[in-house]
Amino acid sequence: MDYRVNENGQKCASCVLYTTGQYLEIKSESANLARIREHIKQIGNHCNLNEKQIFDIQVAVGEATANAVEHGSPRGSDNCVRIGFQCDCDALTITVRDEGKFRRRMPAPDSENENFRGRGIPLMLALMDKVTIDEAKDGTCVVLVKKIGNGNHDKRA
Amino acid sequence: MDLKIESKEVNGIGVIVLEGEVDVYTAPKLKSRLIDMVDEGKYNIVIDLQKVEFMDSSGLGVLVGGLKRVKSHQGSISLVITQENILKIFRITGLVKVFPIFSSEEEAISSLKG
Repeated sequence: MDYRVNENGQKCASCVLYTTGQYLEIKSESANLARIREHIKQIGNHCNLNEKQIFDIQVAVGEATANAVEHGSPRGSDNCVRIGFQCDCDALTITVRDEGKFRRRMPAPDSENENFRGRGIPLMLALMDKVTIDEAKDGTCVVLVKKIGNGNHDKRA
Repeated sequence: MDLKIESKEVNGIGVIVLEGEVDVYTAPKLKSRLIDMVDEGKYNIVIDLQKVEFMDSSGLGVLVGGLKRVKSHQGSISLVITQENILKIFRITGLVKVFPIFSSEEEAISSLKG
């Protein structure tokens, strides 16, 4: 797991995060999901988010990342998933970028769908304030936005 | 954090107690334990999630798969959930209407003894 910060980026006025340029790059393996959750907890603490907000982000990012590992990695663990974080006082934006195509990951209509992966997107939509999915030739990027308060990153109920 | 799974039998009811995190990586352990329990002939099962700190859609999928298995034997699965964060995941996905959910293991066991 590789964590990189663009030291030339602009820092958020309310916390230690940058408005651009910091990301986590992991090998595309489900065993890394727990470490990503731990990293999100640290990010959330930097932003003074409460436990509920941190949990919401962990679930939403977990769904996006699990999708990237399962369906967005045509070369398996030789692929990487890059998770970017940026904070601009009002919102924490997390991007999950993989190297696959989004259309492959929808469950077949007649599948038993026991893995329930089809519920990942509804979970992301319910837990985050904005979700967008950008598909490009070289991969898919899920952008997850969580509003975090009035610019002071105050702890909200 | 890994997922710890303990299983026991109380008055003929299979009880699975989970502790830790259920995600794509750990959910297969739970699936395997559920299949074993059904193979042992236990079709009424309580799954205690009180010590589960995280669950994603793959964990939900394993529970739904387990429910399908026991229902094919006229059985049922009751859940014990007390953490609001975990309950929220079940509400969002509509699974509060699929699984009977209780706030203690004793209540869940009683519901299956019928």
